[in-house]
Formats: sequence, C-alpha cells, structure tokens
Amino acid sequence: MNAIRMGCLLLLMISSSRADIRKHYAIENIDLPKQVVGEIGGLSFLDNGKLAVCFFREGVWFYDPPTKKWSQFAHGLHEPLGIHAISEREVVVMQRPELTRIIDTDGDGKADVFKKITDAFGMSGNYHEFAYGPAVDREGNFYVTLNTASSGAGIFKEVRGQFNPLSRPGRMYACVPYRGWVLKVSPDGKVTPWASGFRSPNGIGFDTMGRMFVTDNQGDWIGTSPLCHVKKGGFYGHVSSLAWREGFDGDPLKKDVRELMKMRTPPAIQFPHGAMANSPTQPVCDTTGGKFGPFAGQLLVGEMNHSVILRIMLDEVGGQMQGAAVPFFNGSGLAKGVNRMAFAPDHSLWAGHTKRDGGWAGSTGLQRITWNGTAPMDVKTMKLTKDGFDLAFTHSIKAPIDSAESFRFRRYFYEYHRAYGSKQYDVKSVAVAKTTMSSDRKSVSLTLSETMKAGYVYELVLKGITNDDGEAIVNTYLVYNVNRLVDGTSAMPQFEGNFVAAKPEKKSKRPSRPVKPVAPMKPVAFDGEPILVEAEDASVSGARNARKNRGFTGQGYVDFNGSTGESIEWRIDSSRAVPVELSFVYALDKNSRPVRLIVNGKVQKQPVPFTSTGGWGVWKPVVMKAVFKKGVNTVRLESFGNSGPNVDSLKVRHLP
Amino acid sequence: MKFSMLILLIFASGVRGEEPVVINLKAIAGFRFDIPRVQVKPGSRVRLTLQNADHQMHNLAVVRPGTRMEIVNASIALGPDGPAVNFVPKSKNVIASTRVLAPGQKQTIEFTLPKASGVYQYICTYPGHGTAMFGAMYVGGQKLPPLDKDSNVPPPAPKTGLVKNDFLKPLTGAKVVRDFMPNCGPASIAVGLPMAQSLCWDAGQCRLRYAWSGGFISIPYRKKDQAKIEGKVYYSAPIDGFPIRFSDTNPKVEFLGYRLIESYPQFRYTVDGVQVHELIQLRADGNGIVRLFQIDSPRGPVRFVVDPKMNEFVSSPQGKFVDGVLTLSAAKAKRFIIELKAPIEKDEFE
Repeated sequence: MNAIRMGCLLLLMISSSRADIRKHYAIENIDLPKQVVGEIGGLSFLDNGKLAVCFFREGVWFYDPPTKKWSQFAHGLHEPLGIHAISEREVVVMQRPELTRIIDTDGDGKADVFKKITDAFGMSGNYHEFAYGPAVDREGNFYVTLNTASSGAGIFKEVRGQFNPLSRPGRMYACVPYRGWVLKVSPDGKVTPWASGFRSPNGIGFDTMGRMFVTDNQGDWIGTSPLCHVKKGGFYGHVSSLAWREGFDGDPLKKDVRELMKMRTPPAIQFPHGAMANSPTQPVCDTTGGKFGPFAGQLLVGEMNHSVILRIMLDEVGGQMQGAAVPFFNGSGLAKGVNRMAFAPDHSLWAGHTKRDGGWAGSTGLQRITWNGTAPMDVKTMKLTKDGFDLAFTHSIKAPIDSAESFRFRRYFYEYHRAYGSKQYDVKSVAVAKTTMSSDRKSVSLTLSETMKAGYVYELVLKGITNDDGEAIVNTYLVYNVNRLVDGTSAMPQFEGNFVAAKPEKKSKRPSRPVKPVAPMKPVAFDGEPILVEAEDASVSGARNARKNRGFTGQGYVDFNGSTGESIEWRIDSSRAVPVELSFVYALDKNSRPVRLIVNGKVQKQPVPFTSTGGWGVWKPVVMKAVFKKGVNTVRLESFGNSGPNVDSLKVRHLP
Repeated sequence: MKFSMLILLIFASGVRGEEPVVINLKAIAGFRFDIPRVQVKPGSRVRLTLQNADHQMHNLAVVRPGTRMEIVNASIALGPDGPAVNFVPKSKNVIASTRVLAPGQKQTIEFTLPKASGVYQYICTYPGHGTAMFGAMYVGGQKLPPLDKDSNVPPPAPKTGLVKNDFLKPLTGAKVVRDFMPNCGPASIAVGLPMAQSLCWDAGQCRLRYAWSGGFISIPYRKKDQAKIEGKVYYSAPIDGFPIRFSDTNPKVEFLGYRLIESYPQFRYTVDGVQVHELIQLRADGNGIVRLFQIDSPRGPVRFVVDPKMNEFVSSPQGKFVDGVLTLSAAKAKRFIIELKAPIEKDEFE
C-alpha cells in the first residue's frame, strides 16, 4: 500500500516538473470548408471578430468563429499569399501578378470588383516568383515582398516588365524588376522600391513600435535563415536584386564579397539552420497588451519545416537591431508549416498552415491557440551586456543554480558568400565564469569566460532551471545574434582571420587514412627461374588492397587511390647480379596512368607506361627492364602527379 | 514515369569479393526519393549514391525495420547539435547515412546490410523532411505487396492533373481563373464560359490572346507548370500589336482590373490614357464569344486590328473586317461588339 502511494507521489512529482506549453496555452483545430485543400496564404481579422482567409487555390473565404460558418468571398486568384481585410465587403490580397483590392459592391457576400492596386513589378513566369504581403503601416500604405526566381526552372518566352540579362544567372535570380525587393505601395497604387537583398522573403510584418521585419530563407548569399529589421534603402544580402537598385552598375554576382558585406545590413536574428528554423514565415507582433501571456510586444515567427512558432526578444544595440530567438510553441499539438498568423480580437492566436502543393515542407489546416492566464516558466528577455548576457525570466528561479551546468554557451559565425548556406565557423564552447541572480530571482546576469565577439551567433542551452513550483523551463534552446557589442563595435569575422568550419562527423566509408609506415615484405628468392609475386603480398603504402574486379590472381590486387606518393614495393633476393625483365600485370579502364619505377632506390629513366587495358576486369602485362644486384633488390612502383592502375602482380625473369 | 519502373528489384549477392549492389537514389522535389523501394539480399554490401536533385538540403539514413519514426523524432530532438552530426542521431538502428547534401551535390556511401531479413527504410532525417521523405529497403526474398498498397513507402506523388475538377463539368456561368497559361505572358487570366467556350486574356498586355472550344482548363497539381487547355484553340491574336488603335503606333496600355457582371468578366484598362471596358459573354448560339467594348470618349476614328488569317472567325455588327482591320467612327467606337465564332466540331456519331 505504501509502495503504491509512494509510486503515485513520484509519478505526480515527475509530471508536475515536466514542462509543457499546453499547461498554459490550449490549441485547437478549426474545421475548414470541405471544398478547400486547406493551404493558407493569408489570415486577417476584422474588428468584429470575422476572419478573412485566402487559400492557395480556393480564393478568399470569411469565417465566423461563434457560428463556425465559412462563406466564399472571392475566387480565381493566382496563388494569393497574403490578405488584409478592410471590411466584410472589402479585402486587399497579394496574389502572384498583383496587389488587388477585392470588393463586394452589391452586398451579396460575393466579390464582384477586382481592382488592381499595383502590378508595377516584373514576372518572368518562373514558378518561384512568389509575392507576399501586404503588411500595412499606420498611414495605410501596403508593403509587399517579391521572391526571386529559381534556377530550378526557366522563364517564359514572354515576361512582364523589363528583362535584365545581367541578373539572370545565379541560383536565385532577379531578371525582372524588383524581384528580391520590398515595395511600398500607397493606397492609390504608387510604388516605391523600399529595400533590396531578399531571396525568399515569405514573411513581412510590423511590431507595435512600427518597425518593419522581414524573414528570409537560407540559400545562396543567405548563410542561415534570418529575420531582418528593414529600413528604407537597406540591402539585406541576396545580391541578385541589386540589378534593380538605382545607381548600381554591373553584374551583382561579380562584386567583391567584402564590399557587398559592407553594403549589407546584417540580419537582426539568425535562426540556426535545421536546429531552429529552415524556412521562417510571417512575423506577427503580440499586440494583445498581455492578454496572450507574458510576451506582449514581442514578435512571433512561423516556420515551414518544424512544428514550431518562434519568439523574438529584440535588443537594439548601438543603433543596430539584434536579439535572441527562442521557440514559443514547440510541438505540443502544433502542426508544422505555420505560414501565416493573426491575433483575433479575443486575443487568441490563429495559425494557418500550408505545404504549397507539397513543394514546401509544411502541412495544411488552421489552428487556434488561447492562453489560460498562467505564465509558463520561460526566458522573457535576453540582453547583451559588455561581458555576457542578462536573462529575465517569467517566474523566479528556484535557487540554487549551477553556473557551469545551467547555462551552456557555444558561439560561431555564419559566412556571407555566394554558395548555398553557410557552415558554422570558429565554433567554440564558452564557459560561464560568473552568474549573478537578482534579489527576486527573476533575472540572471551571466559573465562569460571569453571576451564578447561581434559578428557571432551565441547559442545558449539551459539545463535544470525550474520555478519555485518545480515547473521546468519550457524552452531550453536560445540563440542570440551579436551584430554589435555594447560599445558599438561591429565586425566581419570572416575577413578577420583564417577560421575553420565545424566539420560534421564523417559517417561515410573510405576515411582518409593516415599513411602508416609499412613493414617491408619478406624478400622472395629469385635464383634464375621466373617468379611471380602478388602485389598484395608486397609492401603497400597509400594504395590499398582490393578485390572488387574479377580476373586477378592471388588474394586480390592493389588499387592506387589517386594521390601522389602511393607505392607498392617488392623485395626480391637474387642469387646473383643479373639483368632482368619486370613484368607488371595490371588493369586500367581508360586513358593512361604512368607510374614511377624505382629499383634499388634509383628512379628509372622511363616511368612504367600503364595504358588502358580496356576495362577494370582486363588484366595485361607491361614489361620493363632493370638490373638486379646480388642480394635483396627493391622494386617500387610509385605514383606521381596522378593515380596509378590496379596492379595484380610482378613477374621477374632474367634476361639472357 | 511508369508505375512498374518505380520498382527496382535487386537480387545481387553480397558475397565477399563480388561487386557491391549499386543503388542510385535521387532526392527530388516534393520531399521524395525518386525510387520508393528496393530489394536486396541479406548481408549484401551496398554502394548507395544519393544525388540531391531538389532545391532544398537533404540527407539519407538507412534504418532498421520499424525504427523510422524513432529516428525521425530523434533527429528533430538533436536541436542545436543537429548540424554537427548531419542531423543523423546516434543510434544502433542507423546502419548507414550520408552527410547533408546541398542542391546539386551527391555522395556515395558503402555499407554492409545486416544478415537479418526485414523491411529496412531509407529516410531523409533533415528536420521536417522525415515524415514524408522515405523509401523501403526490402532485405530478403519477401514477396512485395503492390506498390500502391505498400505501407512501407510513402503514398505516390500526386500526378499532374486537377486537384479539383469542377472545371471539367459544364459551366453554368463564367469562371475567371488567374493562373499561368501557355502561349501567354505570365499574368494571364483564363475565362471559361458555358457550352465549353473559353479564352485566355493577358492582364500584362490587356488583350485577348486566344480562344478555344471543347472545354476549359486543368490545373497541374504542382503550380510549377502552366494550366493545360482542354479543347482546341481556334482563334489566336498576333504575338505583337494591340488590337485597339487610335493612331499608327502601338499604344501604351495599363490594366485596371475587372468586374464580374452576373459572373461574366468585364475587363477594364486604359489605352493611351483612354479607359476601355471589355465585357466577355457567350454568343447567342452558344458557339463562340461576344466581346462588348466600351471606349470612353474616343478622340477620333478607331481601328480594331486582328490577324488577317483569323478573318473567318471574327466579325462585328458594327462593320466589316478588311484584311483584319475594322474601322469604327468615333461615335461607333463608344460601344461595339467583336464576335469570335468557334468552328463547329462534327459529332463523330452523326
């Protein structure tokens, strides 16, 4: 009896300490109309609580949460990926070819007027030229983002807009105007090119302070997926769009990377690829003033490949936006592929998913997240200090904490370059030298054991942190992007040292083996009668024994691997000094691979002219001449410059 | 690709000294491997090449029977430690794996399969991919279930075709669909009418490009491609040149949008600054298209120009086309009709 009670108690204790966001937030699935596939391109709430949704294929629908009724408002749109609802009779949609105002003029609930706001940007017909937005500023201006085209497909014979052949090459390209740009569009359709340097900017939004943020996707020129704080005239890294920048001459791909990097505004946040985000989507600001939990004013960012909504803790340092990212809702019933989010007037967060016909990694559907009024144990803010970071928590931390165990840092940088993505460079674990807890135990100052480095990403893993109720911290993995140090210093570490990338552990076969000293073979006696000595019985260095191809004699043959200095050495004990014929049996598929012949340490004038035998399974001899001394002679084949053939054996006979 | 071609049967032996079994896989768009399953003898030496033919990062891990989701979840749980291990978790259930391959890269790995028969699987453990992106490696001489009933492989990729085929049903009103269309600029609008009459209107150039009869469109599953025309094109506008002419030069045009009038689209655009309305309707006999043009205050006579070769399909109650040109007085140009008459298809059974 006691044992059972103990067991129950233990179970209770374990479950009470387990962190689960669902103790504080509920998530529910919203039924969609059966006519739609459920790939959501945009969400926008009206003040009356009605939700406007644009679907990838099925146009615009309104949803009435109390009655759970859906009604179709408009159809026939070309891949709409953003919506801004004005009333139940008017919405603005960003579809692939244009920003369109859609109006129901007769009040029958169905749109009848489709008014172009702007189509003043190019289309090449490349499938990857998605168009996103609009985000709307306080003055009612629209901001849209235009994806670059993908080298995975071509362009139409007819394009819309001016074609610029200079910006056609590259993995992602901008051969028509303003691909890779953020455009500002006034309510009456006047277009101002706003900012450039984007690759796949599937997310644009403002925070409560009116600051604009745009997400992008890892790829060429984008080391890892970022969140950028966008200002007018800024350039954010992907170079193809520069073709459309006023005053920019020449081929964007041929500019000096260092110059480009100087032009670039670094991303505010870098999400470590794979670990935190692969394809971040829309940033949406928690405008609920605390009605959605303890993170009012912070940005939430969707993510295509993970079942996660990320939370951003901004920290403006020296005029440069930067800060930290942490998951907000991670798994726990959230479907992957959160493409769009919107806060409802009742302060719940709605998340629309997509997988874009299977071309993106997400899923389908609409989910609603509501807060139950209790705060999870989590990091609330993360701020850079001169020698580390200050963390503030949503609850007091249960003391004591172990500075070595509780906070583990790793720092590295991502390179800015043309190739797809970046490895992590100059990776180093950094110990916490000192932790100072505030008197209310709600914040901790961490002093790192190394000077802070600008241009680096700092990953922090938390361990064993609970609140006074024993509830574990819900998210344990944070990333802070240090663009500037608190004294304002910035840096471009990739140009400031010779750093090596973190090498992923090799799992593949054929590891590069260190060349070990090879024991010399036991000499084979030669007393005038012809002898055959297998190559695999000789001393082999660098080259390797193999038996893959048929037709060899003995146990196998020796395969030159391709580097200079690999060798096979035979030792022949001759009963007298005698001129000999050395016949090497080998196979070579194509071309010729001459190999140096060294007899008794002396490089012979002629290399052995190994020419193609017609296939790896075709073995033929090539004959060389040499002079043996009395006693032990060495016959050595050594590769130089390129690889050698597969060598099966050496035949020795004396020349009459 | 034919269904049968998807099945690659390999009965090579893996005895020492013989050729390893060669498997060439491609990671392709839509989170798939190009070959959904293979069959190999137990204990075989395998030489597997993965080529990343997609535009996203991928890897491949061969895992023991029944452990796919365990490995997928473990790869997600790697978190920040993922990149350093190529998102392959340390597990005795992983038999072999590649590194993460960027688009265009490839890698060959060699490994020996265990002696135990079973349905092993190859998966992409890159975060977010593993739930969909995998294939079956049958080890042993099992009889394979039909591919479409094989629960060890992902469901087949949806092929090009309609997601929703309501466009194939006869339309009761007009249907306006913006999508990529063949032989048109990229900002195109397909309009389907009752009686299987359809047209393609170019919103970039503000003009009708071609008309067809016999059906409407099908939309490919993945929107990488253009919509497909169902039926036969009988009328085409010339590649260049705008039909409405106020002078000898090609006018400057701007698209303004469209209005749906009883579901029928009325396009609005300006030609040299003059506003034009173009309402699309079905011909009274159901065999073609009526275009009602309204031009706000034309400044003089207006010419409407078509390809002279199309003379037999085009007519106007407001006048006669001469060598592909209809000349209208300023008064007539305020409101005129251009009709397109579809050729009558003979019914085979008549």
